[in-house]
Amino acid sequence: MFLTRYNQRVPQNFPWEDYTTERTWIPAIDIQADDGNYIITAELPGVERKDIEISVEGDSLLIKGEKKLNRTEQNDGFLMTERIAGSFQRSFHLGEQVDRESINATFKDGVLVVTMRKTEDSRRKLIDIAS
Amino acid sequence: MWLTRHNRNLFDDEWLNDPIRHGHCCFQPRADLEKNENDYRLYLELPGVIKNAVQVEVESGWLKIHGEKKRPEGELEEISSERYFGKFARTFRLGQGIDSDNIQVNFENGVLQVVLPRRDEVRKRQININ
Repeated sequence: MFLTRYNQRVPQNFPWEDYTTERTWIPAIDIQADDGNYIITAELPGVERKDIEISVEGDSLLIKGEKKLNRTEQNDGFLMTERIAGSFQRSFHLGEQVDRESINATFKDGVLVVTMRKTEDSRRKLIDIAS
Repeated sequence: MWLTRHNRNLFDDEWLNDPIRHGHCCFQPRADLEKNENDYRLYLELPGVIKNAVQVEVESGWLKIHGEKKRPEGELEEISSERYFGKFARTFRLGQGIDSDNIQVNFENGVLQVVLPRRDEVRKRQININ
């Protein structure tokens, strides 16, 4: 399975905007497999369930959403801001190995787990040694 | 080994930011610090950490948050790995303006929220003009 590491941003008004000062949030993701499944685990701390969207488009699995931190200008505001808010998107090429109908997801403690069954053809098979 | 993270106070405030780095022992979760009229709120991102694996301590004017983010059990083939696991820690100096007896901690959606009430006498301190 191919992992798209960096999201492509289409510059809206290139070259006038200074992209180097913009902080984009790329959630950390692990991809694992067992005998029958692929498992994608994404860290989405502080993201609400309703702000996460998982979809299959063509050959891609898309995980996207928005992290809202409610940073208002009230009072004295923030003294320290290391957390990154805003929209995020990660996409994964599914290829022939994934059963599209089997994809399911859970979200707990700020961690999204997407489980996908491997198609029969892509499972590991043990070949008997005939002689 | 603890190293000094900043050579100066980042904030002209009763609260000083995180002047300690925990060297190689731990990773440092990202944090936000919000100042409100009645309290300070510290937010720490700890996705996938269970409540019992986090300790929040106040000692001699320091707030220390530490614990361990454990890798889920089970033997899985690693295809791609970006998440951090292991011990984490962050330490913050508490200024005079914090009522350290009434600190509250909530943990929701992978974010630890520490509410530190401000002391009235500091909040409302006025200086008379002679």
